[in-house]
Amino acid sequence: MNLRSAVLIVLGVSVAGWVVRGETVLRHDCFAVAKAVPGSTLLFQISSSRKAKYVYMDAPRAIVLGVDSGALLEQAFELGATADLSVSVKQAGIHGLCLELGQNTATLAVPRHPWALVARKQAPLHICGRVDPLYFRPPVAGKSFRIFVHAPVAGEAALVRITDPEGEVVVFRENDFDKAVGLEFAVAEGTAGRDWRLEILAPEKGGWALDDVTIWLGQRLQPLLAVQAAHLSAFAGVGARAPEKIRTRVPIGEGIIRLGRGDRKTVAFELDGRPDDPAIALRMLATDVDYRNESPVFVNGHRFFLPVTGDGLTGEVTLRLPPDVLREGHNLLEFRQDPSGGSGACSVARIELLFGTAIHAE
Amino acid sequence: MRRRVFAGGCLLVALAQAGEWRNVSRLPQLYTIDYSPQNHLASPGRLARLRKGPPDVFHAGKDGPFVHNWGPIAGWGGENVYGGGKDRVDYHRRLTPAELDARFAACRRYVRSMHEAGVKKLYHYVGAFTIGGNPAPDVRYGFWEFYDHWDEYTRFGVGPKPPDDPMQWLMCLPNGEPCFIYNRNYESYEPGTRWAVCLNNPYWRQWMKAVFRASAEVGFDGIFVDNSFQRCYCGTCRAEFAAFVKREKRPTTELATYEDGGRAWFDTQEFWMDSIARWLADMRAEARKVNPAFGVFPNNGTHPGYVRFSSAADYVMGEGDFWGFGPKGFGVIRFHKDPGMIRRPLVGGLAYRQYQDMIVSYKYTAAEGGTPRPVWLTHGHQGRSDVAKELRLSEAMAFGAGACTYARASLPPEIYARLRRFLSQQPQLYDGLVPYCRVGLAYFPRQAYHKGMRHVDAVWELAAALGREHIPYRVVTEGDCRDGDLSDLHTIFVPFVNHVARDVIGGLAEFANASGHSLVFCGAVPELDEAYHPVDHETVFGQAIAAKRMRVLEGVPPRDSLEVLCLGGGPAGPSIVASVDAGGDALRVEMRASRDGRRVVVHLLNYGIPLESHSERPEELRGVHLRIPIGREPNPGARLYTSREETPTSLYGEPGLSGELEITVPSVRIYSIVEVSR
Repeated sequence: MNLRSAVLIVLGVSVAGWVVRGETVLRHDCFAVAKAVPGSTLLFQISSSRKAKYVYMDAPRAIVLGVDSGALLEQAFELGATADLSVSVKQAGIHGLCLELGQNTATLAVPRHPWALVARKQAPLHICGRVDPLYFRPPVAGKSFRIFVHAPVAGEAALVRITDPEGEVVVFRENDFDKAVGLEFAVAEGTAGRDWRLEILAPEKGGWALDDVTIWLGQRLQPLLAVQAAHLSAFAGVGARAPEKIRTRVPIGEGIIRLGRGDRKTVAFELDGRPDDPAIALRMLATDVDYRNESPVFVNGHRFFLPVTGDGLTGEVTLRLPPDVLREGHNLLEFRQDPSGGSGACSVARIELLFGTAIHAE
Repeated sequence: MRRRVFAGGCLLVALAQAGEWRNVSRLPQLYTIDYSPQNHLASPGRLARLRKGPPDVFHAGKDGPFVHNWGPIAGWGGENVYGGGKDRVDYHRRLTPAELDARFAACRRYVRSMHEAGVKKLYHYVGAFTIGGNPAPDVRYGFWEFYDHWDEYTRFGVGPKPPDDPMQWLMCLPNGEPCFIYNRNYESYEPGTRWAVCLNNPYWRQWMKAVFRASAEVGFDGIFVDNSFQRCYCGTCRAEFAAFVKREKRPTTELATYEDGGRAWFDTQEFWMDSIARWLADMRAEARKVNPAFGVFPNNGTHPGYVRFSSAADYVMGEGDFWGFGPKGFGVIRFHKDPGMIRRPLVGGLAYRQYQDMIVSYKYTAAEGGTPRPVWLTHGHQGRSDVAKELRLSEAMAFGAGACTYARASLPPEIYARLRRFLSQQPQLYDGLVPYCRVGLAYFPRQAYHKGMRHVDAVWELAAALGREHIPYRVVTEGDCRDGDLSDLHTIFVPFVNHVARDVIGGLAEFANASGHSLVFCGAVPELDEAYHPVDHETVFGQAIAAKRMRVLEGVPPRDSLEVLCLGGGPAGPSIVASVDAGGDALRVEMRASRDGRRVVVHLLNYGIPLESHSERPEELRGVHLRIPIGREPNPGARLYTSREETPTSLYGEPGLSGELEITVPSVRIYSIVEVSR
């Protein structure tokens, strides 16, 4: 924390209890959430600024979302100005803010209400050059989690430090992050549900600079990063998924299946009986898919689609299967790669069938 | 500005005399683009597929008798950069005159078979300014090889060999260096380079006239002209510019650069656009010596230049909006986004839904009128599902431009067949209708030539806000203000304009000075006119200011103030014509009516189509309550159409308190249409 933010916190707390003018510089589309009760006035304070010397022509815009995801307020604001967006809260719960900044930048403060920045794959956090220490809370111990960092512009890089509640540094990694990197860390007993700190710092290596960095939290983490750790309490349990209940896992095939444009590859497997589990799914590690028909998967002739991500990352994919798709005895799994010009290559590995009562699928 | 007479007690629709109205809707056409190099073979399988749902317009690759950038060569298909793919060995091979005879014959067979399959118009590809090759004396590859053998082809109508080497035909930068609009090096051009030639060069025009004429001779219905751009400072252009400014009585004397800015830069860009339009008109005229119905179809992607194309083109394509040339040479381009919804889950059940559309592009084209039909392409990376494609087609149909509903050849022909059947059975839903609204949105795309992109952004912002509020509006063009009719409108929004022509300001002032009207400037009132002279607001808008019929807002008004602003000073009646029980932000409404106002057509589109997602399910749009201001009618008949149903269903309407008909449409899946007759 630098001197300026320290002063602002002191001033803020003394005046309004919650006021913190964030030092985190946001860019492009960014999202925040705040929890509010009826009768209160939810205020988002946005201070926009141009990026470097060049004035981008994008007009900054903000949209406040109600608890039902409907737009409560939309406002464009002038570059260089501070805009106060306030709404009278009618319904208790979590409200959202979408900041559409284009190439310009802004900082955000939410006085009077607990709030956090959203950082998930579909709504990543784009920071630009300066960022507060941000807090998050892993839900359970004994597992590992990932935080993804991406700084695609050449010469731009970051030093990432993740610290557990005991002050132990679990990730300390300097990289150019030209490709998105998932920084994995284990959560030790006694540290789950407590305040973990993420810091994005200027890299030390010469020729590298901290500028545009995109951050998102892995699927099993609540996708929120708070400037004030205490604010996370307001969102405890929100969006949390019940643990999976998997009776059995059946590995299918071995090694990596690689598909080029127009390729088809099949894997045969046998089942002793027709399963009657309430939840059945096919889980695998797969490269990203840019459009729906790029890499369809056929289970006994029934077609399924990998979720479209287009992010260049390899990740776990789970496809829920209706029970009548599988049969006793011989079964056939087929992977196809679209023959059209838009198709790239695809690789699949670690395929397994899951049977149970609760399975998380996209 | 001409006045129109209100029809009876109807609030909104005014009569227009035939030919006066720019904004009359046209029946959409079906269009397919397919650059397959095998197209010219017209295989039985391909033709059988086409017969299931033939498009009105089929747009093929480089399948004409001549190939614009290489001359008479063996290769077929693809666009500018395509060079035969893996089989490129023979692609650039120059054909002997005897082989060229065979190519002409193959083209004739191809065109005949496509027409027999039901294609009404077959266009093939050329590029406006590209030639490929290597001029080095020891190489003379590509177009230069053809140039060296020019005289062998005179019987194909190429005319006498130009005295200037093609290196003298190139577009030039201000310093005289060759200008490259795109990259110069491509693998498919090796051992040559991709050069850009000047559209005003007489020898390039001579060659391209031969290309056009040959295509007409073998039966093509028109030519698609890709990359219709011009950015040149050559000697010919300097002379042509002098003639242009004299013809149009403009003050500029020299071609200017982006850095010069100001009126000179505006005139320079207008000149280049005029050069393209004249080039297109000349090429078409040459082909029309053979086929009087021959068409041209430029890809320029431009709103600022659209007006100039209106008399020179039959179709116009836009892949993204081209806003003129920027400081780094190539222009400011914003690519279109697929219509539909991006859903971003935040936390818990909270999600942000971003709706994308191209409605302004369609409305603008409809407002300009003229001959061309637009094909506004998207890059299609987001919406590849069939429902997303169906929304894209529906959007092109609904907004009055007579647009070509675009689809690549991959669209199942059954969908085309269904749409074709629907359009042929229900043309009255699309043809000959005028906007049924009282809100105007001033859209002057040439503001971009004055570096006024804030205007463009604000137009899209306002259009999105009006769309989400379900407030019908029409685009008001500079032409509408100059000599059109604005009397059907109560309110016109004019966002962030400056450098507006005197007669356009005059049209706006006349509108605002008349009672019942309201003019809303967002940003500021124009400070300067098109000649960069100050505008005296007090004099021009005096009456409107005194009568408080003119407002000046700091920026684009917030969404919740639109309803009041749109009321203007006119008779009572709803600004907002629809409310929705569920999913309302996804609904967009277009209202049009017959010229006598007896028939109102309401297009309802659900933009809750997930993009970037594997889901094919549109988000539900349930309980759409319409308030259609048709006056007090005892028994209006209402019918509901969808393009999926053969026959419409009847709807029950109830007269509202202030003269509107209240109708509920139970749900809208992707696209539904309500027709009300009195």
